[in-house]
Amino acid sequence: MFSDYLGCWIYSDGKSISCVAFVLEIYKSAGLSDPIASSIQVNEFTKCSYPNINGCRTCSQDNLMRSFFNSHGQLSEPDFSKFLDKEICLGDLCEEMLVNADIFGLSSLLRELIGEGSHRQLVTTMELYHHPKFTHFVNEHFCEAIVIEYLPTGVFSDPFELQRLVDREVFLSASVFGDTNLELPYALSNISVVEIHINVKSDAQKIVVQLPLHSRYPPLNSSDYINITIGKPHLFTRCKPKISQTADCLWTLIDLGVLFGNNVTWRIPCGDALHTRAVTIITFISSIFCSVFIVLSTMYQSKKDKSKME
Amino acid sequence: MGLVNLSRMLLFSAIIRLFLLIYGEWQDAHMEVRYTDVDYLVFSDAAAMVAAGRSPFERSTYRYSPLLAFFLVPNCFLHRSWGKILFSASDLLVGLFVYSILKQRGVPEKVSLWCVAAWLFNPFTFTIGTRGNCEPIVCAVVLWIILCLMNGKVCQAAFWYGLIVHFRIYPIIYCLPFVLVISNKKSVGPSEKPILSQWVSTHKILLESSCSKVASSYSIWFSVRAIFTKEAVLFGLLSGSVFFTFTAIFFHLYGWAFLNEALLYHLTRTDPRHNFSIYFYYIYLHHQEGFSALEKLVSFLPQLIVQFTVVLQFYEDLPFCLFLQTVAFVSFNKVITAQYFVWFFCLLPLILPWSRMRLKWTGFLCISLWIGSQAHWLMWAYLLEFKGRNVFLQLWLASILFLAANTSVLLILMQHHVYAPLFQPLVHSREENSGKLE
Repeated sequence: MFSDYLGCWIYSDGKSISCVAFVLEIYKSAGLSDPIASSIQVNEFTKCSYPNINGCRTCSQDNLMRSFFNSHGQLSEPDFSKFLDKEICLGDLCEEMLVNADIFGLSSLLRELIGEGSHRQLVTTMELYHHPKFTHFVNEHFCEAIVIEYLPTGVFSDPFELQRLVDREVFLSASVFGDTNLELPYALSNISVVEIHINVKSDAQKIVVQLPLHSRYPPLNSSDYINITIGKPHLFTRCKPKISQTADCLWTLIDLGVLFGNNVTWRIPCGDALHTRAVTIITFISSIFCSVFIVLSTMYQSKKDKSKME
Repeated sequence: MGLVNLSRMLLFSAIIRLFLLIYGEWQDAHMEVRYTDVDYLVFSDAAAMVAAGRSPFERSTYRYSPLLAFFLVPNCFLHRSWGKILFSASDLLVGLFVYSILKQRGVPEKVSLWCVAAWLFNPFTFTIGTRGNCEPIVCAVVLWIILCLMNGKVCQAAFWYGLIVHFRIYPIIYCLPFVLVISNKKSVGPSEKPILSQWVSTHKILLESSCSKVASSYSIWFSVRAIFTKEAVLFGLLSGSVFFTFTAIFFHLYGWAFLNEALLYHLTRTDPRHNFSIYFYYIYLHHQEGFSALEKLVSFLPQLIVQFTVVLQFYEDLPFCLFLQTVAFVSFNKVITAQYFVWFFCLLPLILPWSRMRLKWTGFLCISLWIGSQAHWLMWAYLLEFKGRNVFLQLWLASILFLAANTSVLLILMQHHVYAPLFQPLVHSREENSGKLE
């Protein structure tokens, strides 16, 4: 009876429901609120305060970040969160939603930065909570997972590199928004946002996203290194039925909640402003010294050559 | 060396390059680290834009003449390695031109072939073309210009010079020696071609100079006056017109994007990321504050003084002058990347027959100094970029060491070089001479 119930919280060991909601659901099943029973939710949540936010939007609007960036012209993260809530929550309640709203859930989320130096990989490993209907649902639908990473100023993703990953079918698609200048140092650059789409298969136990990242030259600091923190991603799924001709896709914004443990920190070496004076003086002295040496040798050599010729 | 001749050498070089092209394709497909240079991908993307009727400058970091994108359009419909084949072919052309220049100057066959081998089998040069760098084209054109000048074809030389300065700005440093060499009075043969001074074995050079006793001018003022001969003015005007014509055409096609990316970027480039230049750390430390006019002047001055001195003292020995200029230009530049080395590698075979230096042991010393200081720099760069260790100071000191090594090798080469003007100067009688000097 309660297997499709919207009012459940999903924990790593399965679903749970609050006492009040449980009792009220019993009354509803007993026919207490007929004939309007099907339009009443007895939980204390709406679809938008449920851990996973669900909504239906047209499939053609497939790139969330692009819609946000085009309509807002900037990439502020709090604004993006509000945008998401509004866009998804205000989507129509499509029929499938009630039945399948909690198909996607995570039982664990691991974030790590692998590699050394200026070129590393941000690896996000998401273990999927295995809902009993998951396999069937994913077989009937084209499903993709969408990861949106907010990258702080000091790191960037190379759009051309991402395109090569798309060509090799590692990702379905990948886009970068915001500062895509690959050459600027930290001080002159801005945040960027990466949106990646990955195919979800019915036998998928977990989704692993490896995003190659590069660091910029950081601002000067006397402590030799600075730490750059990459926060949590936004995670969605988007599904479209394989058979029906509907133009609507079921979107689910997956709440990472307590699963999200740690921000990832990247330690980048930086120059020291204390070196400036010494470096400037020695650089110019070396340059002048070498050039004077060459000039004197040239003149001496030239004199020697021409005296030989006479 | 009996079995070796130029055609066999060229054929063997072509086979090596073809093998590397194929290997490069394999490595790109199967290994994490690509063989192909990032720049080649930039050129290819820009060529794809051009093929689609768009501007090549829509491809970010494309900072070259649109001509390069045009040349690579066949990448889109023939094969993606078309560009690499073009560059490798230019590579072989450089070998051919080196041989031609040396033979025209009377260098014996065996010595010529060794010099050509110094280019064709230099691991640095054959990887450059096969990895997809466009520098071999520039080298081929520079050598072709020297050949044209040697054969008295000033107009042709002017056309190619205007074109190559449009393509890659650095050859502008050659304008003064070209003009001085054109205007310097020289003997002319029956077919109106200038007479080239012929190679003499360096063992005999001290006793019998083929350069003769001549009033070639030592006065800078005289050289400056000499710039305004008819031929020199023609050369200047024609090459300038070619340069401005191409600039105007592409400005008309692509607007300010072309001017900013292809021209102005190179003139104002201050890249704080690490590279061989001694200025990289200085630029990084100052990047946020900007640079004062005095600092810009002081960093430009050593370059300028060296260039002028070298040109005014050595312009008559044109290949030697160009070689010294190029080494100095690269060494004192604000940004140095490995592909710039090819600019002087193509001129090195032209001066080797006139060098008293032997491979044992001075030659080995030079090679070791240069490669050793580079390897030392690369080690620190690897620690910084791939291990994330803070070694900025050590890397910067390594770049100063590299400048010192470059300077030392330059001076050793200069010291061992036998000065040999390209053209046989006019022979004046003693009386005329003294009259002129008074």
